[in-house]
Amino acid sequence: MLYLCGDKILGAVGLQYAQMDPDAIVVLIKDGVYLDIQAVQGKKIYAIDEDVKRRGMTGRLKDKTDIIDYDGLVDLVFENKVANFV
Amino acid sequence: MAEKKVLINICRAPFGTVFYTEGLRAAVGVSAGIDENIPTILFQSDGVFYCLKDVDRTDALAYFESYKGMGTKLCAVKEDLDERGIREAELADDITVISKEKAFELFQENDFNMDF
Amino acid sequence: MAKMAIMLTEGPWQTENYEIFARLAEAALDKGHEVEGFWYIDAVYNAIKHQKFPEDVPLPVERMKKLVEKGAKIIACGICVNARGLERGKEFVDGIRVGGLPDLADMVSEADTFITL
Repeated sequence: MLYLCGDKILGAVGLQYAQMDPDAIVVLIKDGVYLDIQAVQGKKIYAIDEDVKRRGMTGRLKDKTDIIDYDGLVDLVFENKVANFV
Repeated sequence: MAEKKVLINICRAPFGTVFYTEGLRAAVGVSAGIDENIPTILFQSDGVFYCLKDVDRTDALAYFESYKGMGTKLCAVKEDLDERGIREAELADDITVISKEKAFELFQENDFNMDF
Repeated sequence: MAKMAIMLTEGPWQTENYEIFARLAEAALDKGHEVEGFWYIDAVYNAIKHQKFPEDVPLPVERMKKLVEKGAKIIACGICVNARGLERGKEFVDGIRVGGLPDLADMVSEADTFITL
């Protein structure tokens, strides 16, 4: 399942579920890029380019976070069932 | 067109914002189409505060009447209740307490979910 | 081609959600997908054509109008519209229809993916 995490409070709940999901895909969008993703290390993690850049967060994201654009997000939300935490 | 199962995920506490009540209204709404989609309501995080039996439900009474007719389940996550020091005896009668694991399963079982 | 439904619950100039809606919807439309938006609660303010904010170009309503021109179907919750004194959307930009929760139900039925913002 794809966990769309876009808010510090809701997104933190989304990350809890992602931890329980062996096939979790996490997408950090909006303020989700500020989330502490330590607990979901090892999962597939994406962050939205534009949302990361405008926050000056480019160098601050953990390794193994793949940067995608909205075009990439569109593909992901059609390919995977989405859990909204935005 | 196909009937879908929809999880209404209420994470925000009443009454500081309208999300709790708009989530409750959306639960009625999703079943109001040509296909009668099936909602389930999940209270978690600070949303569990709505489950206290003394909470004023005046603005949502009509929705609760609809839930009775539709057999809609209202669930609260045990771990989130525990974290806030809320005991099961303090909850309204129509709330079912479920584990976080079971809540996780709800996300998998439902076709779509909406966060409030 | 697949169908994306997005429920937006926030108005302009309060949270970033309307911008995310515009970017996501535009990306989906550009890839040839269908996009349907349900505007709930304060999101209905995104449709008002008299928006003014000189430093904010394009205005939220202009971005939304562009989405409609590209084929997005956007419906604003009628109860939310009337509650805010917007009189059945008479000041709305063309192409954004005032509807109701049954429209949300139908979007849910027809969509391949459902996003809430």
